[in-house]
Amino acid sequence: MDELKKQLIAAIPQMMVYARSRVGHPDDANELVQEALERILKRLPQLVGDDINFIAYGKRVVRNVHVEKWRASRRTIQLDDAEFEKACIQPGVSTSYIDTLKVFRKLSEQCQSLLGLVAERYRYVEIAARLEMSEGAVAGAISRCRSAFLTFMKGGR
Amino acid sequence: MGPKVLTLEEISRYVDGELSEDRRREVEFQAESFNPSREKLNDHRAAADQIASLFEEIVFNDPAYRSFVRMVEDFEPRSIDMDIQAIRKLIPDSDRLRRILDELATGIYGSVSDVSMSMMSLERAPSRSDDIDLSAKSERAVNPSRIGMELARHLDEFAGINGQFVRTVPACHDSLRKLENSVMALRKILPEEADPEIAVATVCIEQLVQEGLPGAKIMLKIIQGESVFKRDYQMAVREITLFIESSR
Repeated sequence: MDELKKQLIAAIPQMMVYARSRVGHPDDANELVQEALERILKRLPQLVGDDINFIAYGKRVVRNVHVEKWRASRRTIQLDDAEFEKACIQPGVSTSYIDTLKVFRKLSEQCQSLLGLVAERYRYVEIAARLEMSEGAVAGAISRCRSAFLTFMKGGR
Repeated sequence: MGPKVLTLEEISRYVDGELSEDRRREVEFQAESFNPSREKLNDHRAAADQIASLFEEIVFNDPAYRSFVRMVEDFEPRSIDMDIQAIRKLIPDSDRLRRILDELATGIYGSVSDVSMSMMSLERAPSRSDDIDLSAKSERAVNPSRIGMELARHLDEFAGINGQFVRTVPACHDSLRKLENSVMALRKILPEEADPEIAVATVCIEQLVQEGLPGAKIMLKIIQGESVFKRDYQMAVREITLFIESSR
């Protein structure tokens, strides 16, 4: 159980950035993460002994919570750039942060995970073990994802 | 060595601190000597810093992060959750488990247990070892006689390997005997009386799957009413090969 808790805690930053990249507003994003964590914790005892990828699992639950809650309250799930920017603008949130998040959300989920893990200072070999990839594949994928990020940053598609 | 264009992978490895000291110096030399390489390296470094700032903002500046960490650290499972976990390990088929829990709840409380139902129907984690979405299964019409015939045929086909397995793992002897008796009963039983016998057979098969009996997963599919394909038999043959190699 302690090991599972440790792995879940390690996935929290990824879940939080993912939630922010979906809804923009930090409070709304944290609400999604809170609900997602409650759901995962409720199920945690049943996962003892299983080999869980908590980053993928956590993001999936965040996504499910987002879709369920937003649909129930008839809110738009897919925000365009302007709506997303509007949702992000809060006291204390810098424009450069919003610009980065706007680009980050355009990346595939795998790219988000890879660049997120490397941003959290995980070594390639650790990322490879977590995502069940070879170390070489991680290196190649990170360079491609970062190039995609730069392309989006410069306004490309 | 003259200047060369740095590859994206070299740049990424450099930016992420994944190169040896010699290789780092070489990349720096190449970047200094060739403008396009230097620009690319600077761009990638800036991108890495920007993305890192997304995470730093959350970990260092958002108080919600601390409260989420505490929420997980302080979590203590209830004893009923631990019991459910043990039961789920024995009977992973959520349909069948739900039926058994309902039967038990009816006996104790006289009504269906909503609590037990909700515990079984949460999102499933993406387990690498178990990617079958049990929650997607719908109610099936149970034909105990057909299940009994198919299981009997399977036990017959795998009799040799079952015997060898029991010699290697004597603890499985009882499960196999109990399963054989259950299979005999299923061939003659009335559909409306079959559930307890199917439950017994399921538990036996589950134990055999967990112990690693080659081909046991085919029996699991049969009793769960799923189709058995050629690839299931190919997988069983592979399991048999590995088992024989391991027991040499």
